[in-house]
Amino acid sequence: MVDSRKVLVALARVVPLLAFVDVCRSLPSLLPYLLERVSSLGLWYLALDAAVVLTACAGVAAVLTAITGSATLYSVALVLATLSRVPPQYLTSLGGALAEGRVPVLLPHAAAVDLPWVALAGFLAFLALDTFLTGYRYGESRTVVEPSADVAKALATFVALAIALLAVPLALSGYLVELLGRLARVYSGSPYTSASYSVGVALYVALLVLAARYVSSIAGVVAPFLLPSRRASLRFLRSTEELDTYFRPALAGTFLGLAVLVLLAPIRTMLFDILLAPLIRRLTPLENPQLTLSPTAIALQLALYTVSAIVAIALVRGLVSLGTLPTPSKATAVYVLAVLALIYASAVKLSVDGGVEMPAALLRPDFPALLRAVDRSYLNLAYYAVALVESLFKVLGVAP
Amino acid sequence: MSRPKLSFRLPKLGFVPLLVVGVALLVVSVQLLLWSIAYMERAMVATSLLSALAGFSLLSASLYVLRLAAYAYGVEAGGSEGG
Repeated sequence: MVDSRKVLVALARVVPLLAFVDVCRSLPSLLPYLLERVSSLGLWYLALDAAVVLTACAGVAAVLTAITGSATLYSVALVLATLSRVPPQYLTSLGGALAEGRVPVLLPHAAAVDLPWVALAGFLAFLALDTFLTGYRYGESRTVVEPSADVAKALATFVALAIALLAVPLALSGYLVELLGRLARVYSGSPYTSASYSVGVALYVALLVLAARYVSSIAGVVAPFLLPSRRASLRFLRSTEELDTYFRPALAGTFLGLAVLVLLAPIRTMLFDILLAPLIRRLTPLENPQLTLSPTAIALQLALYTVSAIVAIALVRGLVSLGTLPTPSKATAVYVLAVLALIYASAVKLSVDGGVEMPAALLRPDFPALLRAVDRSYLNLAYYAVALVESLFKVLGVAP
Repeated sequence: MSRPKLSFRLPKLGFVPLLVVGVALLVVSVQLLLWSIAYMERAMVATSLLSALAGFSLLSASLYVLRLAAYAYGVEAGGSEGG
């Protein structure tokens, strides 16, 4: 008599091979081809023919899944197979845009990538078999007795849930592609191409993380509706940590970072360009330390900006509270007074530098000069940030 | 029975108000997300990103309310069995 568990295990091993059948069938011819090309052209060849390499890797992962039966390997194979389906004309248009210095459209249109639907459906079947097998052991009941109506209901629920959970990420990623594709089109006329390209990549990563968080929390909403359980619901509704959440705006961390960035330039100017300028000039005899790009100057700028960033972060954390009710305290007053004192002291210093005698300068702080200095500091910060980010992206190969 | 009886009774709505509020927030957030695409079409980058931000914030609010509705439904409909 055939052990039905063995049949199910065999089925779970055959599913990945069937789902990736086209990839796996091309594998015996692809691997010798790749090896021959690498041995003759070197490892750099791999970067040139990404689709072939991705297909081969997906095939290897699929075969390994069939051997080990691991769900993680299946998902790796799925991701690789999806990436290998990005149309080559998109890749060439991307390369052409980069070569001409244009901003490429960030992603192919959603319709341009056809998802490996068979492999996706196979993934669902694989996961269902995997879950079933964990609760179905040797020596236990060989037959599962369930009314066929219940089985049909469970299957229908499973398929509906799978479609819904697939539709949400597809809709969100379609939205991101639309939004950022249009952003790239807006920026394609701008002269700051690589800066805007960096902005696009950063925005895409931030929004993708956000969307992933929403997708996973949607699953947490759907589950209690499908399987209502009084005990779990009461436990949730009684726990204050789960329930008493303050409203936290999306991307709150990013906004605090922006606040730090806004404060960074004036603080750096007031501290190091005005108040401590004589000290720094004595330490580093550089002609125009703002705009030279020697290693010493860059290290100095980085150090100064790091110190200013620490001050700015302390200020933002002391003054801004997103999502919680602000509680005025003595520390708040100290922070505000410290900022006012810093502004006043640097204005007085500028007034003294402008030729006003010391006691009179205390009454005639030079605020217009301070404003001009702060204005310039933003330009310098933008210059450094763009230079840094651009070289970083060039090193990583993301931007032209 | 000395207490006077009230002349009306509140209907027992259960989780439905939460569900309605959650779905309404969801609809508004989707509307804002679509507006952000429309603004980007007209090259209004900052307006578009602000609208996308409002949309995402409302989406998280709606998910929170929907989760509350789901657990309220669980208390009403669920038996004591199960996890």
